[in-house]
Amino acid sequence: MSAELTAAALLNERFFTDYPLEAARALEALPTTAIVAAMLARSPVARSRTWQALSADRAADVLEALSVDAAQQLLAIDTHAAIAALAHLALPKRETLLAALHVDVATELRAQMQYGPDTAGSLMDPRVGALSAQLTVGEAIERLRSLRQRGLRELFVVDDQMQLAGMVETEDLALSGRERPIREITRHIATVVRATDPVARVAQVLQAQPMSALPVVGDSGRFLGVIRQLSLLTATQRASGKRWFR
Amino acid sequence: MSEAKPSDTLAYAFLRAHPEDAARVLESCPPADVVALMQDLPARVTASVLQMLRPSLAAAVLHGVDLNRGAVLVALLETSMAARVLRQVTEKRRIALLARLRTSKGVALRLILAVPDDSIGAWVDADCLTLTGEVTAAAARARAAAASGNTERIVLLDAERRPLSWILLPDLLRAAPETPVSALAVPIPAMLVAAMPLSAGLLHMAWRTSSVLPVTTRLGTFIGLLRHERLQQIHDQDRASRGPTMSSFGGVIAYGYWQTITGVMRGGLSLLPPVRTLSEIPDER
Repeated sequence: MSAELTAAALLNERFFTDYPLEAARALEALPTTAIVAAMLARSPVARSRTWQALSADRAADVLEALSVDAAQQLLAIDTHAAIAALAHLALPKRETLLAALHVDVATELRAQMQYGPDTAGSLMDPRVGALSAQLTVGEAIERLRSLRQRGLRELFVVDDQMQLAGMVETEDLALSGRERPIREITRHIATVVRATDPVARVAQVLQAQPMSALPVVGDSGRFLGVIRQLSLLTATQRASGKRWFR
Repeated sequence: MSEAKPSDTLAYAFLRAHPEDAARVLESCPPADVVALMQDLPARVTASVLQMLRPSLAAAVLHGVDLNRGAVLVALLETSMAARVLRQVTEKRRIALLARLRTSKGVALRLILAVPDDSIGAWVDADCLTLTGEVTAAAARARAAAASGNTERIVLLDAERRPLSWILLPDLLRAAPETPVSALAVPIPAMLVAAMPLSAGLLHMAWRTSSVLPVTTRLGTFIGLLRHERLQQIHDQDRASRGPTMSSFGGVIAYGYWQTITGVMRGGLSLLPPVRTLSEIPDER
């Protein structure tokens, strides 16, 4: 806190505590070191509220930048937020953090991150950055620049509760005015699958409505990740022992 | 803001999105900190927070920031708030800030600041649309659409800026584009003089016919419009802040009025012949 003016510190504290969603959107536009500094300068209550509202990819950046002790405090706050952020980390880092957690917390997180071999969750790529529906096009483009993935043709949009609100095509982002709210260019997604759905259902859905990335949601409707056509084909090929491609 | 510290970037996001909440937070901070924070923020965001701040703290900000920025901030404040804040800066600073406001707002502020804050002139809404000279309804509509302030009534002024009449917005919206505004004008029921005390202003008979009245200087120069509701609110606040004592301005007026009436009655009674018992009255039969 010492680096901040008292006025700025008090404003930020109130912002994080009373408007965590907006504070999270403002944080996501900053470099990771700045997010970490801002979060460490806040009270535990303020930090906890805003951490839960951070997008999973930026939350993962924060976990990577923090000490293990500080990271495990964040992971203990909320299971859903912890799982979403951990899913974006490379396996060694994820295991390091889980090992540092209290055994009960780590066991619960591990259990919730594992899906049966024949479920949609097992095919899912959780490392998908999602955009908040509150962003403008200009803010969304800034977020796009901060995403680790490259070559994305579509981006998924979530509401304040991290529920899937639709998708935005990068072409639409590029062609729209920067001040336009992205909800105006968000396209409806007709089909999603649950992480616990069987692979057969995933295959059925993708056959009926081919798409490059099928969104996966949890039982609460929270956006968890996507299944790409290629993952499904690879899994099916592995299961049947047949070669689908030459 | 591009080179701002991250903490300031976040604070800026909060100030921009929630100026009223931010103002309450800033009121608990050291004034020097508030000034330092507000020196570099975009002027519009700073002004929207100043608008919500306690006038004494807003005045501290106007003292602390450099003069040109202070003048920009005053120009962005609503006129009534700008006047309240300017009353709390030093005379030297006030003169310097007003000298940089060479706009109609600057003129209005000088007129408002010329009357004490317990008079109606201190509380007028000077951010209202006025027209001088003949224009068409289409031109007046364009002016109204571009105006940032109140356009409910558009006051027509003569060359000396004295109110002649006014136009009601619904009439203007219904008029054919080429209609001259003078054809839409309706008489103003009454005008209030800025120096009139709050209590006296509240009692004006014209409020029975209009909820809004123009306020002028003693020489008739238009300052702005005053709503009855606003006047009542200020009067009530004034009374509440002073308590039900004789120091209350309304109380002084009421007391003075009562003393005058009772004084006249006493004087009148003293001129009457003294009361005598029936036995003292000679029988004139």
